[in-house]
Amino acid sequence: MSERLIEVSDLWHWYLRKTPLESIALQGASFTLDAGEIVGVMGHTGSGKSTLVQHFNGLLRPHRGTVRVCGTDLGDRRVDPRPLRRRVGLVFQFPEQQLFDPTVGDDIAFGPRKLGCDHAEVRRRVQRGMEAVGLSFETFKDRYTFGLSGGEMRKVALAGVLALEPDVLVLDEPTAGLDPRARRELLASLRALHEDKGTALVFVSHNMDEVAELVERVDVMSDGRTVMSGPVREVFRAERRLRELGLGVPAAAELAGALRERGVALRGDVLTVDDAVEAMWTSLSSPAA
Amino acid sequence: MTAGGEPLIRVEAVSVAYPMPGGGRVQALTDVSLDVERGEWLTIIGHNGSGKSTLAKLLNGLVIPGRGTVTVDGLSTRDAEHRRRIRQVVGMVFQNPDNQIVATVVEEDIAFGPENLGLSRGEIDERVADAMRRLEVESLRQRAPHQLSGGQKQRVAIAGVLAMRPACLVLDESTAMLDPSGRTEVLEAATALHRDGVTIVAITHFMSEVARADRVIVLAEGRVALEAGPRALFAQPERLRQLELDVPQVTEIAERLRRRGADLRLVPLSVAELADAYARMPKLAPQ
Repeated sequence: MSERLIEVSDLWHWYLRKTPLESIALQGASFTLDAGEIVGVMGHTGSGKSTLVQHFNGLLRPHRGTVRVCGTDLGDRRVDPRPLRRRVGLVFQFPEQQLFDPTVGDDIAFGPRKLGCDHAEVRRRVQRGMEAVGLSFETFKDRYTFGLSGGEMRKVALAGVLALEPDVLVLDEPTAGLDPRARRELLASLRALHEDKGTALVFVSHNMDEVAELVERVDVMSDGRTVMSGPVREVFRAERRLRELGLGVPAAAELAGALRERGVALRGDVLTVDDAVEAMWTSLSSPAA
Repeated sequence: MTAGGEPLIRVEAVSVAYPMPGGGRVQALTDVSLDVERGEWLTIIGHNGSGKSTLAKLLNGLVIPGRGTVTVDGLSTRDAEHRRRIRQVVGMVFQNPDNQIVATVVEEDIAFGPENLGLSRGEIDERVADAMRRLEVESLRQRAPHQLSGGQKQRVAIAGVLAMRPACLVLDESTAMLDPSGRTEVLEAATALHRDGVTIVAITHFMSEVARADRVIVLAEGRVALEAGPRALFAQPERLRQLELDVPQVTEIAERLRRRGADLRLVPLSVAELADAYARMPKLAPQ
């Protein structure tokens, strides 16, 4: 059996707890991640996705329930979560808010320098991180971070976390605001990171197309609870339930549904563009029933 | 589009540059000219750093061009005394709703803009009520913004802009952070406003949203690279990919079936269009 990296059970969390503005963010959420897995977390805005993943490197501590990450019990207040942050990298929803150095190269190099990497290693990691998000090292390393476009800032912040080369990479809506090519490049480099280095990924998204393309298993959250969980193909079969939860299905699955309504049944699950092209071509070229 | 008359916004030969470390400058826009016609839905797409947001901010004078001129309803944005008027004509909605909501109660947030116009109480109340009705946020009027979903917050932000009675709404990636139902809510709201005559300038990275436009402008490296209607645009998938963009998934599916030999000439813009066309296709003869 592979190593259990993250185990969350019956997790509760409140914001502004014990004040008149108290609001509940998590009420009994659960989650697991094993070494080498890619797990998606979907849910409408305010469903608790971001609050859940901020527990994974000790940014937030559980108010009730258990959170164990790489063998560390984060419910224990005496535990210092900082060493964990070398193993678990977290990219926030508005990663541009994580930028603080005046130039792009220095901002991305900050993490590897703090890890004690030598100059050559820092340079290698910065270069690799930038390539992974499609930023040219030569063009961008000396640019001012504040002179970048919103999408470029997101890429820099992502590159900074990728340069830490963590065992677990947690990405909260990493492709929001990225152009189509950058999205494709980022998904491809995440897949490469997973295949080459065995990095485990937690991919938080409400982009159904990307979840279908990248992840193997997916959890769906609603109102602070984990309400669906399973292989991505199974979860996307429940279109009506997903719509009730403020979500949807990938465009290819929507197309398969629209065809079914018009009397055309496609074979198998259709989740991605590849699936749709294959199934539709097969149906066209098979002898009429 | 209203026939005749001058365009609502005219961008003429505009260039904008931002400073770089060591004294250099990065060119954000170079010699861009375009018109926004009254009543149209113009969508602007382009890769990250192509100059889209800079262009959006030119349209209401948040950015003043280094070279060239931007005129809104005949008024130059360069002229500081026109800026108040210009910002009433052209309202902006950004990506992150949390950065746009200022008050602690929805209704007060929507009233914030009109209150600063020095209008009578009755006029303010009427505008707020009208904006809430059009964005369907009346039931949320007494709520605190932090209790709202992303789509609701963005509709409240649009209502606040609408209460200024703008002729044009600029949506700068206003759906980027929303979940699927939130995106639908905002797009439906914009579609209804457009139907009522509001000019829409929408910036997006979602190719599936482009279908709603009357006209699309593609920016690349700070210049206008392409201009076309959505269908004519998506008939050029290779060109779009060169520009670091893409076509919607349904368009790509049709393109790939066509390349395999399917007799599918349509460039579909929606799931329904492709499903209709496919369901009508005859089976291929066995070979």
